[in-house]
Amino acid sequence: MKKPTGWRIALTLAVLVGSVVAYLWRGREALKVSPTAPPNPTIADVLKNGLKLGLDLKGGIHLVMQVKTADALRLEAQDAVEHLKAEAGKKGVALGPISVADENGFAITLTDATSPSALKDLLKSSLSPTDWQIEERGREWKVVYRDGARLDIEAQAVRQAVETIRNRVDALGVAEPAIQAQGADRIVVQLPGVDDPARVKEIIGTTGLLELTLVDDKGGPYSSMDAALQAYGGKIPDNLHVVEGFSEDADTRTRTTVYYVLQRAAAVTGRDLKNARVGQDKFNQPAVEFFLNAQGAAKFGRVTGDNVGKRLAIVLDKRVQSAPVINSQIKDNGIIEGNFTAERADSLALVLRSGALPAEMVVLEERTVGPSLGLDSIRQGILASVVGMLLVFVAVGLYYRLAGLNAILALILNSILLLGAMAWINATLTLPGIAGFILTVGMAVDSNVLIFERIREELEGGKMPKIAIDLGFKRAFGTIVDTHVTTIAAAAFLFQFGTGPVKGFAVTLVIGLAASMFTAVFVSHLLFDLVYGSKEKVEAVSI
Amino acid sequence: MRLFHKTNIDFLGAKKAFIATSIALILIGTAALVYRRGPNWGVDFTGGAQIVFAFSSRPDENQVRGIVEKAKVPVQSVQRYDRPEKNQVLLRVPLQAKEGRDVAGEATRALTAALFPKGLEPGTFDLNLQGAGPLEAKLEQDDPEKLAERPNADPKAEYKRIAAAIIGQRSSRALFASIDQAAATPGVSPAVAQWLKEKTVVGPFTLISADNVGPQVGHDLRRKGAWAVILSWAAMLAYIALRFRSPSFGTAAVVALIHDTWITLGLCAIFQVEISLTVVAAFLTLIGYSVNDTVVVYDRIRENREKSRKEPLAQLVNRSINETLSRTVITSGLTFLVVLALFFLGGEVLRGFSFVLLFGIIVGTYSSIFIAAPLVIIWEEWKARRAAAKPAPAAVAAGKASRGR
Repeated sequence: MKKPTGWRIALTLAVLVGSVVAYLWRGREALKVSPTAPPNPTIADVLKNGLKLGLDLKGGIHLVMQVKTADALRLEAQDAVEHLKAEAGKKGVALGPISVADENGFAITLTDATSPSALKDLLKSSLSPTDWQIEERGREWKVVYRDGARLDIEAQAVRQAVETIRNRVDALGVAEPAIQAQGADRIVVQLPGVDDPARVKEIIGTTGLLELTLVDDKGGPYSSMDAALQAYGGKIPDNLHVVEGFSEDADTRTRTTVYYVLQRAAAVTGRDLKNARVGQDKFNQPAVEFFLNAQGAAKFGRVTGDNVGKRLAIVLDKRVQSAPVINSQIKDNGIIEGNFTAERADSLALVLRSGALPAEMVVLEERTVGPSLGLDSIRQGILASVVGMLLVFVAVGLYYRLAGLNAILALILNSILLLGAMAWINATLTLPGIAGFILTVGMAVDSNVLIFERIREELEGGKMPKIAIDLGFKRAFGTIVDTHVTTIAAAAFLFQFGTGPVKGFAVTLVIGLAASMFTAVFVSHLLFDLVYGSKEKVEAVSI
Repeated sequence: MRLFHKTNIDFLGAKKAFIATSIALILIGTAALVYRRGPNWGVDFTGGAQIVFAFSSRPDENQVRGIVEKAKVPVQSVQRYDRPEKNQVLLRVPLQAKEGRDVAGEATRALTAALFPKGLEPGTFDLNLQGAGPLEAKLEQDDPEKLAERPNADPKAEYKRIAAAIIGQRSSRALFASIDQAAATPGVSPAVAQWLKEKTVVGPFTLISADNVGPQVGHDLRRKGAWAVILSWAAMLAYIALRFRSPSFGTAAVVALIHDTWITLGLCAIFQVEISLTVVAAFLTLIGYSVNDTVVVYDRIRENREKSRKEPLAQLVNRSINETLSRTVITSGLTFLVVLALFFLGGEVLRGFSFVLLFGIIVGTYSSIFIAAPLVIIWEEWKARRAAAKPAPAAVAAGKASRGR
C-alpha cells in the first residue's frame, strides 16, 4: 500500500473541479443565448441550464417528413416540355401531342405530320443529352430522365425543402431548431420548446403553392366532377383541368365542395410573390393580401388587362379559394379569402412569404410532447434519481461501514463527473437518459462491491489489512473491465438503433460507466490510501 | 454486516430442479405470448398513433370515443391514462394505410367542435390550445397595458415576457381549469388580467402528447430493433467465447441471456406491458447487465481452475458460485433498489422501461447463479462422455443405443 501521493490527489481534484467548471460554464453559455433567460441569472438558473434537454423533456415536435420528389420531377419535365414546344415553334417542327404521364419524363405521340428525323434532331438540340434519354417505340416516343439528372433534381428538391422549412421555422422564432435531410428523400425536423404544435405543424407542412389562373368561359363552378365533364362533352380539353374549390353561402356561411374548370397553365405563381400580409375581406373577416414583384406584376397586368369580365381563380395548394370576376386591370396585388381565423390567416401569410415547398410533403413520423409533459417528466426523473441514490447510499453505508462511505464518495464524484462530461460534450439529456443516470449509479456501485468483497475474502484468507486492500483492487480489476465491456457493448448497439431519447440513454450510460472505472477503481483506492496508507500498522479495516 | 457468508450450497446438485423451473417459466412465458398473440407491440413498431389529452374535469372515455369516431378518425381504444387526478385520456388510432394523415390534429379539432364549439369561431383565442407566439401577437395588437403611449416602454419585449409567463404557468399545471387561473399568473398586471378575461377563453382540454408513426417508419424501427437485439446477443457470445477461450462458457452465457430475455418478454405479455422503443432499450441494457453476473461467476471459475487443476469441475464450479454469491446478490440488490425507485417514482412514460429492468434483474440474477454455470457442467460432461465414446468407432452405435435407453 502506497502513501497517498500528491499527483493522485491532484488528478482527482482536477477532475472534480473540471467537471463542476464545465457544467457551470455550459450553463452560463446557454443562458447567454436563451431568449427566456432572466436578466440577472442566479446560480440556480445556471445549474438548470447546464445540460441541453431533449425534446421529450423540453417539449416540442419531432417530425420525419418525406419530400414527394415525384412532384419536382414532374414540374421539371413540364418545364422541359414547354421549352421543347417553344423550340419546335421556332424551327417549324411539327410535334404530336405531348403528355407528362409520370415522374419519369414525358411521352410524344407522333402524328402523320411529324418527321421522325426532324423530331430527333430537335430533341437532341434542345434537351441536354446528359439529362434525357429518348426511347423510340413506334409512334410512341418516350423522353425519360437519365439517373444522374433524376438524382440531381431529387437532391435539389430536398435541399430546397430544407431551406423553405428553415425560413418558416425562423419566422416562427423557434429557438435551436434542427432541420436535416436524411437519406434520399426524408427531412427530420426537430423543434424544441414549441407550445402550440398544431399551428407549427400546419405551417411546416403546408406546401404554400399559390397560382392565379384564368377560369375557362364554361368553367363552372359545377356541383360535381361529372357535371363538369358533361359540360365539355365528356372530355376536358388538354389545356384545361378540373380543380376542386368550395362555395360559401353568404348568410349561413356553410361550405359545399364545387368544381371549377381552369386553364392548365397558371398566369402567375407564388414564385412571383413579393410579400403577403393579413388583411380583411368584404365581410371584414381576416384574409391574406399578397403583392407581386415587378416581373409578376407585368404578367398579371397583361393577363387581367386582356381578360376583363372573365373570372380569375386564386388557387392555393390545388384548391380554388375564390374566383372573382376581373373588373379592371390589376397589377401587383390581390387578396385570398377563405373564411380564415385570424391565426390561420397569419400562418398562411407567413407560409406565402417564405415561399412554396418544391413538392408536397408527407409526415412519416410525428412525436409531439406538450410542455407540461416535459416538466412532469423532469420532476419525476429528479425525484426517482434522488430517492434511488439515497437508497443505494443507505444500503452501502450500512453494509460496508467506513468502506461504504468511501463508495458513497466515489458515487457522488461519479455523478458529478457524468454531469460535467455531458455538459462538456454538449450531450442531450433525455428522459431515458435520466433513467440511464440513475442506472449508472446502481451499476457503478457494482465495481465497489466487487472490490470490497474481494478485500473481505483476502482478509479472511489471513492477509494483512494493507495487503488485502491492494490485492482486492488488483484482483477485482479484470472482472470490473469485463463487466464494463459487456454493458458498453450493449449500449453501443442501443446508440446505433435508437432514436433521440434512446440515444440519449446510451450516451448517458456509456459516459457514466466510463466515469465509474475512474471513480470506483482509482479514486476509491486513493481514499483507502488516505485513511490507512500513512499509518505504520493497520489492525483492522472497517469494511 | 454480512450476508451469505461462507455459504456452501449445493447448487449443482439441484441443477435438474432449477433447469426444470426455468423451462416451466419459459413455457409459461411462451404460453402468455401465444395467448396474447405476440408481445404487446407499441405504436413505435406497429405504426398508428397514440394521443394523450388532458381535460379540466373527469373525462368520459365513451364520449371521447364517440366524438372522435364521428369525425371519421378510426379509434382502436380510449382509456384513462396516468394518475386519475390528472384527468388524462389515451387515444389509440390504428395504422392508416395512407402515410401522413394528421390524426392528432383531426382528433383535436373534433373534440373542440363537440366540447367547445366556441373555440372554432374566428376571433376566439383558446389559452389551452394556443402558444406563447400568437398570444404575444394578440397582446401587442390590443396593448392592454397602453405601452405604446409610454415613451420608454418596449411593448414587444414586455408582451413577450407576459405571454411566456402565462403559457409557462399553463405548462406547470397541464391546463387552465378557468380563466382566473390564467389571470392569477405571477407578474401579470390587473390590466392584462382584465384583458385575458375579456379577450381569451380556456377550452376544456389540451394536447399532452402525440406519437404518430407511419408504415415506413414503423417498418424501419422493427427491423432495426430486431437487429440490435440479435447483434447484442452475438456480441456477448463472441466476447465471452473470446475472453474465456471456450465455446461452452460462451454458449452457456448466451443461453442464459436468451432465457432472461424470453422470460422477461413473457412477463411483459402477462402484465400487458407495451413494447416501445424505450422498452427495447431496457431489454438491450438488460442483456448487457445480466451478462455481468455471469461473467463474474465465470471469472472465478477460471481463477479457481488455474489454482487447483485437480479439483473435479463440478465441485470447482459449485465452490465458485458460493464464493461469488454474496457479490452477485448484493450488486443486483443495489441496482434493483435504484430501478425500484424508477418504477414507482419515474412516471408513466418510463413505467415499461423500469418494469423490464425490475423483473429482468431478478431473472438475470437467478440465471447467473442457477442456470449459466450448471449449463457449462452439462456441456462439459456431455463432451467428456462423447470423447470417451469416440476412440472405438464400433462403440458409436452402442453409445447411441445406450443414450436411447
